Amino acid sequence: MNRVASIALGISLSASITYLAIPAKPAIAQATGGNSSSTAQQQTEDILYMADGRVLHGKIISETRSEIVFKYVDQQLNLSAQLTLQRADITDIKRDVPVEAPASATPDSTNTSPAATETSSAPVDATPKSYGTFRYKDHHEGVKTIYVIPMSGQLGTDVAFDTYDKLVPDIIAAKPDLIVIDFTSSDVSGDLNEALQIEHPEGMMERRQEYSLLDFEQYNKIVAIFRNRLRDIPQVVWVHDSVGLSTLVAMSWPKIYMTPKARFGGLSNVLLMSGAPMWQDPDIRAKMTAAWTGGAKGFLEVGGYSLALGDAMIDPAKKLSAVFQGRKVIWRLDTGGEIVVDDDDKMPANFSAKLAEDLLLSQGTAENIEDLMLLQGIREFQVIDEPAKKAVDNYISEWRRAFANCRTWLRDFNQYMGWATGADAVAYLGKAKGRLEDILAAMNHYEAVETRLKMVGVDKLSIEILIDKLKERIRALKDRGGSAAGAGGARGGRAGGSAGGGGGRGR
Amino acid sequence: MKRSTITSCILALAFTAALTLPSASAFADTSIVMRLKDGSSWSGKVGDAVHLTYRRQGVNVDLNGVIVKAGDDYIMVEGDVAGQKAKTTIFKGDIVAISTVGGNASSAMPANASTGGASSTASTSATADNSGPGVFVLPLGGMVGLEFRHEEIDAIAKEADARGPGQIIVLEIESGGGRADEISAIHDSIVAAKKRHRVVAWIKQAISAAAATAYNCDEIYFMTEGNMGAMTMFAGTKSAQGYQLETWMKFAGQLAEEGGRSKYIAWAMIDDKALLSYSKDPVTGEITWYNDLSGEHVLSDEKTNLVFNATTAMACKFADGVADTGPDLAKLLNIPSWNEVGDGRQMEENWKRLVDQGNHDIPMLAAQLDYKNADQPVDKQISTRISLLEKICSWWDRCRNVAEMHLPPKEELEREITALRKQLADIKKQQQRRGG
Repeated sequence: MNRVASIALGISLSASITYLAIPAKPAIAQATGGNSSSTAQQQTEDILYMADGRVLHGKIISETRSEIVFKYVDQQLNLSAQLTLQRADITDIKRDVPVEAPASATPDSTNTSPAATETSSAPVDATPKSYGTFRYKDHHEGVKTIYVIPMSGQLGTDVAFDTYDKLVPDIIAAKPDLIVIDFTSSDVSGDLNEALQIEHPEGMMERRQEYSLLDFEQYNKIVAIFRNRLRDIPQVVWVHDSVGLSTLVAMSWPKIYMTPKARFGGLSNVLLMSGAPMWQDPDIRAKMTAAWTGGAKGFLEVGGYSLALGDAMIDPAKKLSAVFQGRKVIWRLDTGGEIVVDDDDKMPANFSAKLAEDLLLSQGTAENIEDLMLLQGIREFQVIDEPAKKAVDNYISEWRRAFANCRTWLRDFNQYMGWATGADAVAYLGKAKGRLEDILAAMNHYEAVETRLKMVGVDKLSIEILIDKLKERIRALKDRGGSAAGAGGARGGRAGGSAGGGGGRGR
Repeated sequence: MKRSTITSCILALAFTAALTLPSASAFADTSIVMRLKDGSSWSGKVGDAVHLTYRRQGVNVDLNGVIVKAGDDYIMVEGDVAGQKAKTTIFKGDIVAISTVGGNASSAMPANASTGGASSTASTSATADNSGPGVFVLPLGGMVGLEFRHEEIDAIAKEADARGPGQIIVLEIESGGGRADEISAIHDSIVAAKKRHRVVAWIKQAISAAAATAYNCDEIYFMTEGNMGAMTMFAGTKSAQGYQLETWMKFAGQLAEEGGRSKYIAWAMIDDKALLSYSKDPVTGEITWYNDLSGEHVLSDEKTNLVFNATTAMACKFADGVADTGPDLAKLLNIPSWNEVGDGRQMEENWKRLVDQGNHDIPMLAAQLDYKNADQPVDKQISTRISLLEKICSWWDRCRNVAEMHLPPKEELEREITALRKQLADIKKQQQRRGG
């Protein structure tokens, strides 16, 4: 049998052969301890006896009726690779066999790697989980460069178009061989299915303020940065956790990898947040559902995923199963497939890393960057992660600080308005106005602040009207001699009127 | 088909209306919510009998009547005014107190979250190349009938005319829909432009009224993320039914057929009960459409409103191709290069900027009616009010589409200005008499 077909998820046999052609670096042996840590932790292994005579050592990761996903470990060569094997090609399986440490796999403390000896300025990052990969700390000519870009936090605020747009020149200048988009964005923690139940008790609204926003337009623009402007650079998505709209964005890339504990789903939030299911009129409900679902599936189109898969992930009423046709998965919106993913008509289809990998939604499971590189067939690499991390982290901390300030300023505003009576009226009205101007400035500076304040009913126009009202009152008071005789303070405290009373709703 | 055949129903203000507070002028039967001067809120709806006190020229006026119309910033009440039945337009900011006659008194209302909505032009990566024929690109984004209008289509066609007949006009559509009464105007504009030029739709998002716009084009191209459909017409919270629905389906069916497409497709986009399937001839690839589920491929069952994505649109040959960039589209259009000409993008940007300004300035001016110079003598108050109303009224000429969303009819405003001028003149005469 042609083994090429059985090598799974982005690693071809030819890639494995390439590995063999690269001189094994002692540093690798050192880094891996002659083994991966996961293997080291495994006291036992599984052994597969193949019909073609090969004996494969490693660990069974998952199995279905027809296939076994197997983490193959070659201890002699310090290689591991994930294989998807047809059961028909396996004659025997021995499970949990005690591991015998190979003689050649002992750690070599006298590293004689050419790279290590020739470039002392490029020490190996001696992570214990390098899985046969070699990561340079400093820039090294001729070594594959990986540019890592985080997408973390709330999509629409923390993950914002401007941040990534500004990174483009740096990315292009770095000429990376691969862009890794590192996703960590989850609307909910804990069990995904439980957490996504619509009927939440109190606190739901507060939590929803941290849900990724339903902002297809912005996400399309973010995706376009990578898929259009940076289209010449290979890209993969690496999901640490993705629950909510982030999953849609992640699915705009055809190559998704996950960490072992990653969750992937939460797309029912598309409909939940759109309000489509809440329409009483069935025709309008159908229209809204179709419209939002259609927009969401546009992201899957960009990534090349099945629209049926999208339907099942978005619409809780839809079921999902899968059928394998060779290496291709055919998704079905019923439970008639070989593997049933979702047989509940009240919950959408969501995925664990394992399930996603089993069903080829994920190209592989990678616990760390070394794992991920191995899955790419890259054994030597250097990582550029600082610029993007710094830009993203700074932006997030800055806008969130400004947002927190706004909440304080809204409280200040209310307090000053309450004190704006008698002889101190002008002074406190001035202070109240100052606070509103601070808030307005923050909203103008950070769209995320404007968005989040709008979610609690404070919009820019209301603030502008309040400021204008306060200016008018201050002028009037000054004309009268500076004090608010009686009604001034109380009226000011409810300055909303048609403007909406922005201050009071800010909490 | 004439414009009058389309009802004034709103066809999906909708796609975004789920997120935003719909304007009362658009949804005739939508509830009215207003915050009163004492901080409380009142809610009601058009048709409610109310008793209200409002501030007019510095004095409180009581009025009993029925709300006959509502906008974002005003309500129109029909009631007894000086012994005669008349309609009075009252800005919400002027209302001191209001109660519903016969129950449903004021109730506190939660603040509405609004995420707003805006459009943007799609990224085209277009490169100008003068070797090929000109491509006039007009981005059509935002709400149909507001940011997205027929006037820009007429203008881009006029620009194309200057280069002679046979130009290519690309309508780059990204919209969640809008007002139904704009559809026939858009239809007329595109039909007129098609007589002289090749008009094609390039879809990023064409939902509802925006989908109806695309149907006017003989060629429809999708972007990879493109989607099109969901043309259900509704007003307020009710979908069009009966005659209204029939009229809309008939019109949409004609639109589809004029563009060489099956009317069944349009119907499946309008009515979730309208079925749609198709079969594809394995040899010729010819598509046969069915308004039931007998075809090999079901696109819309009895619970589904049809929205195409790029894959589904291509599979059934509804779309003529998929392109993400101008040069990609040029290949599909069978022209040698992407030679973008004309001011379509600037045109759209200018109009959008004006709409944004109107959406900002009109509510601001309306709010100022409530407090600007409120501490001044009556004549100064009236002068201020006249000045503000004149500025507000000017928006009817500057940006009718926005004015329709926010304001009472222009005649009402002008009448109020005239009345205020007379009052001011009377006051001045009195002052002169006293002074004399």
